[in-house]
Amino acid sequence: MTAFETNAPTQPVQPIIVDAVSFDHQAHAAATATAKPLFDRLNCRFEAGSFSALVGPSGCGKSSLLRLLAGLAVPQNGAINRGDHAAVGFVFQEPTLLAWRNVRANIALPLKLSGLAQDAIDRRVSDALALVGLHERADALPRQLSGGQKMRVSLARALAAQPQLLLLDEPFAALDELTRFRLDDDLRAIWQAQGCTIVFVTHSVTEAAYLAERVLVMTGAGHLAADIAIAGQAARQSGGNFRAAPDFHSACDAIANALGHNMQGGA
Amino acid sequence: MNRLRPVLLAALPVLVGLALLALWEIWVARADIPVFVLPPPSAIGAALIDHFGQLTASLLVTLEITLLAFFWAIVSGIGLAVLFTRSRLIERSFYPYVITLQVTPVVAIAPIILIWFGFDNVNSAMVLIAWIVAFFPMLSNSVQGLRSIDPQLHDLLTLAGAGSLQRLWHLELPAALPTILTGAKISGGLALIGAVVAEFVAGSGASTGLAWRIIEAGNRLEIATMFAALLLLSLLGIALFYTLTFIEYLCLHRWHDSFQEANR
Repeated sequence: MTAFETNAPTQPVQPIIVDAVSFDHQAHAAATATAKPLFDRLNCRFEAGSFSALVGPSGCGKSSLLRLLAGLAVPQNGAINRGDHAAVGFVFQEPTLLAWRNVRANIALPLKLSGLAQDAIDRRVSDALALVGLHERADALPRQLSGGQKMRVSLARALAAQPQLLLLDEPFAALDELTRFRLDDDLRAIWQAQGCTIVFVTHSVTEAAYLAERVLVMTGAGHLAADIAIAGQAARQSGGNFRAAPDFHSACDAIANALGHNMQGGA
Repeated sequence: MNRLRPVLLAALPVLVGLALLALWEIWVARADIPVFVLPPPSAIGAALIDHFGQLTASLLVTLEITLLAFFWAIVSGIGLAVLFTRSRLIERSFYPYVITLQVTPVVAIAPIILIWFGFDNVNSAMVLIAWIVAFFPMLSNSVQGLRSIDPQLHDLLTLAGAGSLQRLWHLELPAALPTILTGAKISGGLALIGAVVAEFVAGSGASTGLAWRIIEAGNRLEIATMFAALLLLSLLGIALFYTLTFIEYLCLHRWHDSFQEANR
């Protein structure tokens, strides 16, 4: 960990501002049709160094918002100001590893493409491997890894870019619950160590409440229904199991209510 | 018994072949079949030894045409596939003509090509004819391989700011390699067929490849020599196929799913 802190990424200070963004995947079709676009003048804001979760049903536009934040999609109207979040890390739903490259080479690829010197690449790759605890699998090929390990490589690859903004698109959805809990904890620890801004898309109410400081609830198409701050963040620093805390359960209830479900009643 | 199994499995096709050759030899002798209709294996073997120098020289000629056509099929197939997947406009403009080239029987085009190239450039003409036959599977497999790359992998390279050539080298070519190699296995065999067709059409004097030896021997009723040339052609095809299979193994066995079972 100390090795990482010596060349830790610069922490962002400015917020990310989504300003009246209108967006539709089928821009050309929408131009002629009268259908409402996915996002119509959407506004939201992500403070520097914050951990936000984006929850909502499938097709509500969570992933699209993430792609807009990453710059993988361009809004038809409005603007996204990323402030001083220069480097972006993106973790996809699938591990998205290159099957013919071993773990080390997979993590190194984006760095290599950005033209970083080889010794700097080596250092960053080994730091990232340490962060996700995969040092001894550095020479393994993706197919020799478990699902959880592949996801760790994918996370390490995003972290190696030393991102100011880390975007995750339902990264742990396909993993078993125990592995997911462990990765959730690791992600929290990495966030606390790195101080980057994180936006995490998930369809799991409990995962959102557990991970984030703040949960944005999306319902329907591109509609931000609620912005819920998760209480008890300060107390979490001192340890203890947040999953057992009353704050966690009230947060889950609030998110579920905003989604239009009643947790006690059962959907 | 279990340790003998692999040996037995490998020996099985050889034993079947030897048995068939023996049957052939005996049947031809018993039924008094004339040598110019079906020569016995022994006569074919003798012809192969008698004309060995001439036949191997011809083998090299056919091999050269085949390999040149195959090489150009690989280069043009992958190259055009890259252009097609980069630009819908290019694909739209050229695809109908590629299809036309593919569906027009090559035997019908071959005489025209030979006339165009003239008597001095018969070898180039034959390479072109063989290329027409070998090109299409190389193109269609490469296009399919390039098209079926996970879009998230493309996103990954976009985020990393990869240039067009970097994308090609680090993602597209390796990801499409399995389908490209499948295309190459088909295309390699077709290049040989194309070379044989080209030699047949090119006809007398112009060509000295194995296919021409077959025609020549047929004209002289040296049926055993015909079979010997045919045997060499088959061996050439088999060698080509297994070389490509071996290359495929070398390229893919470490990481590709199709070799996963064999690895365990």
